[in-house]
Amino acid sequence: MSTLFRIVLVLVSAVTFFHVCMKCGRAQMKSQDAVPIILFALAILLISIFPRIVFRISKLLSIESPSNCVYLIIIFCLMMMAFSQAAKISRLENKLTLLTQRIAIEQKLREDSTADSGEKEFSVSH
Amino acid sequence: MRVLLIVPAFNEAENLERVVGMIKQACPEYDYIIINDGSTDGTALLCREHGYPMLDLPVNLGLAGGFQAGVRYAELMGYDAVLQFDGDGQHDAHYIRELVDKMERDDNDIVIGSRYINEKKPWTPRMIGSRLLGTVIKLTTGTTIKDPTSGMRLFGWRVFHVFSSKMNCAPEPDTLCYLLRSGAKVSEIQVKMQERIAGESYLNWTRSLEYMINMVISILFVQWFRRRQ
Repeated sequence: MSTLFRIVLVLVSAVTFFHVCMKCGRAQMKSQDAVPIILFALAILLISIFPRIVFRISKLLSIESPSNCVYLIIIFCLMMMAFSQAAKISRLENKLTLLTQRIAIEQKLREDSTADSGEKEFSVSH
Repeated sequence: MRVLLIVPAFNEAENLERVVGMIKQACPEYDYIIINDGSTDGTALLCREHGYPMLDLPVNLGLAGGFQAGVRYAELMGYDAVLQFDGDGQHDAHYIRELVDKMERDDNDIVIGSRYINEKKPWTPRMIGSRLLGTVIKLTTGTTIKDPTSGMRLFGWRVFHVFSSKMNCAPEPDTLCYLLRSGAKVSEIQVKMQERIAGESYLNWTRSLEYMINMVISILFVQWFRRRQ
């Protein structure tokens, strides 16, 4: 890994880390949802400060260039985050469907009970 | 002081009658409300049959969303304080008066029912996590909280509006940290809690670990960026 590459990694991971913490702190994002990104940014920061970790992993996996190993780790982490977000979207869609259906059913029940009481008044007055 | 006991309940049909019975017997002068958090075991039906006051959430929101719903209700109805009280029967309602007395006497914003003021904290994995959280809270706020993960917390009107108005405000140790750094007065009193009798706990190994990581990261990093009030 070249020195410039390491500097870029340090800067980008540090900026990402601060940006995400700030977003959570300013209540624009839930802390819980930000934890994977925070951990990811910290991991990249660690790798860029201590590249020996990457050198060891790339030697173990017979990857020629440690930079490629870094890319592999980043891609894997991104895939995990994408999967977890897809699962969360599924759950949210399910909740949205449930809420929409419930609102429609309760509206119908309200209309039916209004119609019933309207008919009763009509039949009583006649 | 008008206090509302907020009792979040997710699938607690087996425990709820006992819990409500205990509340009515120990402190009938306080109002309570069950927050049915999208339960699938007939919790809502049980509440309706017995006439328990209930907020029936149509979908599961989790503890944060459920508690927030209770706080919004409390604000609307003009309560002076809210107490977080578990629906699984682990909390003892006989300590509630003590918590309220402590708040009134010392003008505290938050009073926590703590298991470990006079009693020693065991060295179980959960309590190691609790010790870690206590250390992190002490580092960031200077305040010692003996039982940061206790779910029995009384919040005064000066602080409970924070739960209804902001994201990232679950009734958890990281929010306690934020409130402490915003100048809230927090104290603890010794209480006893029981083990869960029936039903299933939300916290297994992986969830407990996830919870600890979330809390530590939130307290150590995120909290510094929050606007203090």
